Amino acid sequence: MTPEHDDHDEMENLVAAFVLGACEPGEAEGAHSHIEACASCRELTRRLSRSVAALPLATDDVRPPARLRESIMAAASASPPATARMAVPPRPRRVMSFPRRVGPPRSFRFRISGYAVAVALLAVSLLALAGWNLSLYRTVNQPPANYSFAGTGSMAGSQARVTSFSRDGITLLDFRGMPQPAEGKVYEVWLIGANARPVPAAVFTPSPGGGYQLVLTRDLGGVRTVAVTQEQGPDGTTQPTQRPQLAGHVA
Amino acid sequence: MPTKLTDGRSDQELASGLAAGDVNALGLLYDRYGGLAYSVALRVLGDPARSEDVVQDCFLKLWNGAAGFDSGRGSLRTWLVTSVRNRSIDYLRGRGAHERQEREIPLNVEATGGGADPWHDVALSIERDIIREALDNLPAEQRQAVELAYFGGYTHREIAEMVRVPLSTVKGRMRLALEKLHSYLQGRGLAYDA
Repeated sequence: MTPEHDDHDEMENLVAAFVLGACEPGEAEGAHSHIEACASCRELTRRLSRSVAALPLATDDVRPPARLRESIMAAASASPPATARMAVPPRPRRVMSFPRRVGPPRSFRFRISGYAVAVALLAVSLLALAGWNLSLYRTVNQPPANYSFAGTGSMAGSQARVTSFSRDGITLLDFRGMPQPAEGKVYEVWLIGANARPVPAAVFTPSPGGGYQLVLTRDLGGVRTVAVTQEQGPDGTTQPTQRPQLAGHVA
Repeated sequence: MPTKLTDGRSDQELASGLAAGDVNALGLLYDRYGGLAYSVALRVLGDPARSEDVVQDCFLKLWNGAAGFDSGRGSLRTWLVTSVRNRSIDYLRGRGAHERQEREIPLNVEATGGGADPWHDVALSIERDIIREALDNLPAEQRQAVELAYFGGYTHREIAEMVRVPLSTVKGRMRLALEKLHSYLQGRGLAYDA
């Protein structure tokens, strides 16, 4: 085995410690330089870093004392951020004089620029067509995505199975073991995107056996979470009024 | 009583608000991630007062624009908790490894109930469940290696000495653990911006 391979193997074994911030002093720089130059170690770093980014969420959920918020807000109000404090004057426009360009006669230049524009337009159209083809291919060959999640609290024992057919633009929701909602109430399904705004999707009342199948005429593009709450019947509400006890990630 | 829902601005919008000097954006950001940031600091430091200092430092650094956060390079949440974790480890290292103690969450801190934005809380609590499940599925020695490094701030050599195994074994455990976590989280639809 060559020294380069030895070095690579050694560095590859360091990547996990590197992304965890667990290298010895002095080791991290060597690892960093190697990762920058080595495509396979860069890919490994990217993959392992994603796991590390999830680790903070493994902590116990603890509420900080209220004074912490007050103290941060007081300190922030007393010192506006540097970027907002400084009013940046408009940058003076630089006026530059260029020497007169010597070139072909004007009519010839027009002809050349006309051809150039036509070629550029053709290239852009071809690229757009290729992109559209690729996206169509991916859409047509995409298998349905499946997710399942279980209820907690008052909805313990309930289950939801979500199947999204992005190709057909529909989503199936299959609920099992749902308790009957309170008198005058219905279940309402919410779709929540990255901005955390819940969008009402459907209302339903389960069968006496607790089951219900629902078809949404949309796929789950942009949706991160599907949640169910109990709301006023028969039409539900525009905003959820309670914390859902049946919810799951679908992204 | 119906739950009050707060401003549903995305993290990206909050980052823009911060850049424009909107103090309300900072408040919303704190309501969204202050608990998570504090939980991380407390897990590393085991000291509520120092944890408060670290969280305050990190939020104010973000506010003052000195933090160099670039929304094009990752999520605000990841940036914030990574910054809190690193600052906490610096605190630990600053006072010397021998001062590290077994850490427990003090009993006088309340568990989080409904936060200021229940829908972010819901998404966060689902993610937390999945990540805990993923960690629970790891062999104990792999999980230990990762937790000692990430939350304990120990280097791989220190961990090897602590658990009395060769350094190469610790490196292998760390890598296997992170690879398994990645596969598990990807299988559950969670992909994180590093």
